[in-house]
Amino acid sequence: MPVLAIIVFWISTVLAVLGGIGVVASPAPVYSAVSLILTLANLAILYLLLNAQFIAAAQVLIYAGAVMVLFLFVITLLGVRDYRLFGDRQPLQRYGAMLLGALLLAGIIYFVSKSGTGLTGVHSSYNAFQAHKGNVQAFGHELFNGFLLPFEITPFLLVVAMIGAVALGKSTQGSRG
Amino acid sequence: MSSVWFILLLPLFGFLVLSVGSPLPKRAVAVLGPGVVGVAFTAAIVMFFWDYGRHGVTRDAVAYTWIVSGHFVVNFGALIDPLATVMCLIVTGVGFLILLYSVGYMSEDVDFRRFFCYMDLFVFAMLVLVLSDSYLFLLVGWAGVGLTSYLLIGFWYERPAAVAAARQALVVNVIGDWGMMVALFILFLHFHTLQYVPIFKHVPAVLGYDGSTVRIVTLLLLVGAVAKSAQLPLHVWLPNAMEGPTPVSALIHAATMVTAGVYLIARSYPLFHSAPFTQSVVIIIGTCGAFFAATCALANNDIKRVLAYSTMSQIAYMFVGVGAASYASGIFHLTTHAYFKACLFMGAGAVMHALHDNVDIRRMGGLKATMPVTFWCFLIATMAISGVPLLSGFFSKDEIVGSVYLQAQHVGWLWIIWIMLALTAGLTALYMFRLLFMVFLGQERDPELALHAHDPPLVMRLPMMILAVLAVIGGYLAFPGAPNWIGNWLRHSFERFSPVAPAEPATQWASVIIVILTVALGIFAAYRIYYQRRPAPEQVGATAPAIYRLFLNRWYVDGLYDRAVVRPIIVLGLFLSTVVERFVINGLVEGSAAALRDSSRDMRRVQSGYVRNYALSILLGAVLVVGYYVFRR
Amino acid sequence: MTPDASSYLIISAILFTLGTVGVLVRRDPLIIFMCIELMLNSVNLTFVAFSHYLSSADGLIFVFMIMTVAAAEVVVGLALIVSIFRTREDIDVDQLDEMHG
Repeated sequence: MPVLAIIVFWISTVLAVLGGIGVVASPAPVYSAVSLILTLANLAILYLLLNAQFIAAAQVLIYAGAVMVLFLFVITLLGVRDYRLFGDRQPLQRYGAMLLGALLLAGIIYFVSKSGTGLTGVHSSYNAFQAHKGNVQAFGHELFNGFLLPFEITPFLLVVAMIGAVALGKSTQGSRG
Repeated sequence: MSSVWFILLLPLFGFLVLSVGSPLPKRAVAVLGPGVVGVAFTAAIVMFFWDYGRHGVTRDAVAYTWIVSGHFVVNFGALIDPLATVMCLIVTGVGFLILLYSVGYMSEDVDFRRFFCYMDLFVFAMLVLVLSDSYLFLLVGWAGVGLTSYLLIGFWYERPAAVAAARQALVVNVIGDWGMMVALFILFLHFHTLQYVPIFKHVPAVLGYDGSTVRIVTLLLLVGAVAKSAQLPLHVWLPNAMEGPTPVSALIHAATMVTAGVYLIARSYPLFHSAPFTQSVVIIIGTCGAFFAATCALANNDIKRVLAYSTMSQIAYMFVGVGAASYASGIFHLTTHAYFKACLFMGAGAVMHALHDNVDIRRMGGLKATMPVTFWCFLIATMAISGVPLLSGFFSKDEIVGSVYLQAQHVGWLWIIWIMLALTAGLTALYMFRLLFMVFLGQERDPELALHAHDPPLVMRLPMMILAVLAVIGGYLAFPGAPNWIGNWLRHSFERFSPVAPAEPATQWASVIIVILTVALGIFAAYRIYYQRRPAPEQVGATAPAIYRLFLNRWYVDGLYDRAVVRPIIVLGLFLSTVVERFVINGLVEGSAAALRDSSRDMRRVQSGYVRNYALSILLGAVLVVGYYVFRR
Repeated sequence: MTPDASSYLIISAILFTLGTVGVLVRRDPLIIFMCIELMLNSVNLTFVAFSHYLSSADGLIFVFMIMTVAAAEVVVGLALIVSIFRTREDIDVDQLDEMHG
């Protein structure tokens, strides 16, 4: 791995984690949204480092583009409200969450460190294809050969979600009128 | 080949149609109920002639394989040999006549359809019992006839006595089923199958001669046979079973089901042959039962109960027959007994019909004038059961007594058995003619009761007459001296497996003559006491009060059972229902209910309604899962 | 330090935990929602990392599907938040406690 890539990795990692902290700790939703965009963008860079160009592009387009714009749109629609981070009536919930979160993190890190880094791939057809034709083609090949049916079903999911959103928006209108 | 399935499935078909056919008109039920059994009888006759021409060939017909589990294979199949064919003919033939009779007898009953439904189911279960090719389906049929017997004894479920009798019959039969089941377990343990043929082929090789295992197996089978056939000491249910409708008594508790024990022993003869000890037990139980039942019949005043005791007594003769390894004679007596006892019960039913369901013979008398057909049929059947020469019972009973006589030449103690059997033959004549004289002859004791007495309608008269004719000619199947037709034929069944059944003994004229003499003495005594002097039964008892009371109270066996078994169980039940039920069971139930109520009152607070709390508990779960894997090693 | 599979996994774990804690401590449904997105993305990172190091496209396919589901989920979730806001004029999740026992 080139030195440059290592440097990029560390910068992206730090920025992604800082963005994550920002999402959780910001006083207002709009700061959280901006922090989340930071995280998502840096994850896209990590995807590039992991040789997943298509996913990186989709990450930027779908998440940073569509989803976060929708978030910001709703935030402006509802107005900025300040639900303070520590103005909470349930201290037990807060401390419990932090304690359990720390435990979970510790547990996962324990496992990861214990299992070592011995992950090696078998030399699959995907590998050969990737080396020959490039990464995006290989991904497309897999998607349209092995996973065609799930892929074809995803539009239905999206349509159903869309219909659901429309119905939710409409029903309140109806009840008002 | 297919005719056997035809025979089996027709009564089942009748049962199924009748069980769901509530809109069927009464006439259709009256045709269908007996009709299916009649057609099955025809098929059985066809099967019989098919086989008879081929000298009683034995066939195993496997319909399909039901269970395969390793070496354990359960076939649903039929074993057709002379024994099964004879039983099949009796069940369907006599069954058909009795069902025909029932059309008249039950015509006034509101549950007309239910009656035929149960009866068809009984015929089916009985056919499964006799046609099965394995002990497993024998047990299925065995339990099936037990069930239908229970249902039919308690047919008039509004009568507490009927329900109690049904329950008693079921409980006593379950004792027998237990014995059967344990015997089957042991057989399976040793033979890895329950099919007759493989078991019987290897009895001496696997169990040895007179070994302890074969003794135990046969004794356990005997428990089943004794319970089903109402022999000592599990006989108490049979007299009480007379609470059921009379056709039921005729079919189930006289002609077919109660003889299943005899069939079982005859069918299992290779086992019993290897267990001479059990054979002796069978003979002793049979002899004691014959004598015991005859004495009980002597003192009883209920027309149906007298017949019930005589049934028990006659089946005891059959037990002696099969116990003495004279299987053909046992089955022969079973056949003739089916004719005359069914006829007797039909006669008793006709009398009860005429006398408004009165069963007390002390209030009867002089019915000969008003019910001539019934009288003649009853007379013929009485003579047959008593062993009057040249009627069927004479031949079959003498064959049994004669075979004991023959064997007594070699085994000393059998002389006692033979003497008791001959004595019981005399007693049989005495109590049967006592019944006949008290019911049909002399003066009417209760003129009002007998005011409208008349012969039953044709549908009831005809089966009775047919059976009376059979009771006369049935015996010539084994006319002494002439070729013993039924014996020779049945021998095909009893020579198939290694221990060869003894050839049919020549007629033992000494035995025959002595039995004829005791029978004549019995009839003469009955004539003197009950026809010429016509005393009240109490007066007869007064001459020997102790013995009379002993007989009247059935040797106090019922009371003994009541005290030794029933009362302790009731006391235990009371203890359980009051003390254990209230303090232990209720304490547990109510305690757990209270604990649950209190804990859920506290647990309710967990449901705060805050979604975040619930999410936190999910996280807790995730941490616990991770923690489990961390600390697992 | 050269990154390997476990470094990606640890980043993923950190982001996931952050998201989890955020879901549990915040009261603003929009922020909770964003934290859920954060959790989804951390899982995506895991998939991509495994896919890379195991030389298999299956992980990428998974990520693709997760993205689709996340998009659908955002659409419906935001519509729900908007409609709740319309009826209650307040969207503090702690006010939504009608289900308490």
